[in-house]
Amino acid sequence: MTKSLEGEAVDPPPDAADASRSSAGRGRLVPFLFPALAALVATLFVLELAIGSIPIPVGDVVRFLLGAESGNEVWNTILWDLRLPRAIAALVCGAALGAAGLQLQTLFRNPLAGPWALGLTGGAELGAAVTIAAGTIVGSAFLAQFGFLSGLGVVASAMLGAAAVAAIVAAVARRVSTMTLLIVGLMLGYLAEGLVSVIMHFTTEIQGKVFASWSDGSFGGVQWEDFPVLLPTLFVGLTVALLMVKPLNALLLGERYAASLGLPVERARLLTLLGAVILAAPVTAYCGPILFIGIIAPHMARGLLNTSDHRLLMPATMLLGAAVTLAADLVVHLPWERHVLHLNAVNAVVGAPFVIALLLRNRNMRAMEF
Amino acid sequence: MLTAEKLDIGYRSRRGTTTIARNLNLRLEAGEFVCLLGPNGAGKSTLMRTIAGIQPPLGGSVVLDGVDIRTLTPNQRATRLSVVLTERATAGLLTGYAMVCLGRFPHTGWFGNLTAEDREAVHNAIELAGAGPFSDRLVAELSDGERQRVMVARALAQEPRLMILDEITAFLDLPRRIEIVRLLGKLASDAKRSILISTHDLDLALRTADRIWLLRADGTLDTGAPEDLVLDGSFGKVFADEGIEFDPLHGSFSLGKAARAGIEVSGGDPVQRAWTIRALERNGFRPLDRAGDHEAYPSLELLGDAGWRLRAGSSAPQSYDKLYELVRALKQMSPTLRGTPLNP
Repeated sequence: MTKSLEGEAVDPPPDAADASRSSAGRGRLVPFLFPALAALVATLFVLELAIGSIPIPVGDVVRFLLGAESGNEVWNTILWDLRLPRAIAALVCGAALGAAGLQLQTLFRNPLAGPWALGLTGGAELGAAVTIAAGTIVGSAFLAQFGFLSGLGVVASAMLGAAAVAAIVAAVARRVSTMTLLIVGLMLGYLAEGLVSVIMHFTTEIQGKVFASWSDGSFGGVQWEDFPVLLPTLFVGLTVALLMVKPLNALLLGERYAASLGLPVERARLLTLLGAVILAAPVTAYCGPILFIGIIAPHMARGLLNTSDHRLLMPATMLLGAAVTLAADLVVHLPWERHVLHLNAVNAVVGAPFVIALLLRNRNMRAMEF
Repeated sequence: MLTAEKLDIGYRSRRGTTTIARNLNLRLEAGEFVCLLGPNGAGKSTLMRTIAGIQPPLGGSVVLDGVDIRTLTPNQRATRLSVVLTERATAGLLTGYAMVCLGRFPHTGWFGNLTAEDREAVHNAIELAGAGPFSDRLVAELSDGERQRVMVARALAQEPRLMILDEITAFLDLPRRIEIVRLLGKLASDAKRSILISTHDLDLALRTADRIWLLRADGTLDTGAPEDLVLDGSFGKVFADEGIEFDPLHGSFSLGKAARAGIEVSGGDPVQRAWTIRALERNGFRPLDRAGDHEAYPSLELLGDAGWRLRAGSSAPQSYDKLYELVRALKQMSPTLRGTPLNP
């Protein structure tokens, strides 16, 4: 499973030689960049499995991944039941969030766009909160039935919430400028979060805890039984993202130019938005709101490749999204003495300075006009 | 190649329909370079967008090579006509080369990868547009003139039958304007492509266009060779609408300031004479060839490199070596000079 997904993301962009001419100066490095990124992701993936409160030697982890036993019953159980689902989730969700962020940044021609900024995350939170609170009406027995974070009801309603916000954004999109649209998305996000606190006011303590642990954002809660829904959905989303590279390139020039190049703009805009929902909603539903990855991964890819060509950017963003997310989650589950670090805290503390440094160092990034 | 009959252009919005121009009949032949001229707000951009199929006509149709462009799919349309818009293409981190590659969009497959044929088209377009020297630099870092060349190359790479360029000369300095218009004229005649540009550059349009479309503020359109439109008074009418006098002799506008006084001008070579007359007219003096009454008008003698000698009234003649000083002196004495009506 992991192999096929990694293979999907690692797919070298066809015709790399030609595409590389579109990046100024760094074209020659491109052929080495993708294998290097893939190796980085693989290394982080193995480390994510090896490091934890019970350390497992890297060699045994690799042997385990290759299908053999790690040589220790307890290790096998830890790897199979706890760490592997978590690592796979971090890998694919990171790739998904990065891809969603890149699509939204290009669509809205705004470097700040991302699943969070457009209210998708807020919508998903609202959906989840409504379902968790609905347990009060339906009865706590029902709540207990899906009391896990992975409860399908929570997931479905989180997706619905994100889709609802996306639908509003898409409906408004035809009438207003992209900047207005971004503000509308931001406000919808705040509105959703406000409604969430109102709802939480009326819930029981248990429901509050269920929601709080979901809304912290973590890959720790993802289990094997979640994958039959999570992985195919994200696979579809990632495929859509890779298939949209050509329209996204045209959209770089603005919608009028894109239309003059023969792009059916309305359809492309809807598909891109839908693609972002398919990617961001399931991640938020299963893992809670994961911030920052969607914004920084595309910027890192641009900084590395020095191009806006999505044929290169999209796969690079997926790999970088996966790498950053794995690295952040690695920090989270280092064997800390007493505290539990929150994933979003790590993302923000590491991510924000990184983006600032990238922007200040790279004059081409500053020249980037969206 | 392109025809439009009884074309009505304008906007439809929820508040109703705004018609900008009605009943336009247009023709554009293969290999023709056409300039669309007209005052701001006359609807040049609307007309360009309607012809490009970006915006639907309110009535009538635009027919390209026998096909109504509204019946084409976006992709089919993009292989037949390409546009350069007034809005600045926000290029992100695209090089000139990558920008031109985007011109192949309607010709390429799912991922937009270029075949050998596509690459050759891109190469040719860059060569033709003279964008080679800066095609490896980021578009965002190019000068206005360089960027316009890249945009022209991109439009060429689409390999269209018709290229439509809106205000391509805006923001460019004169040499760059001349370069790009000359280039477009050549691109049209060499490859039997039709090129339509809108511009405010009257002089350039008059000198280079095969045909001019002159859109008036009231939405009527005159078309013809530049010289025909001058001779039949079409230009005069358009400028008169705007309160400006068109000078059919020089093919440019005159500012129509009230003439202060007549001045007799004599001597000098044609160049000195032409620019002296221009300076006088600019300041509201009316140059006269030879007035009958020698005493009535000041007389100005052009002395070539020695400058100008002015004789006014009974005072001693004054010499000037710069027009600037001459004109200042004339302005100071103008209340004492005898005025003549602008159109005697």
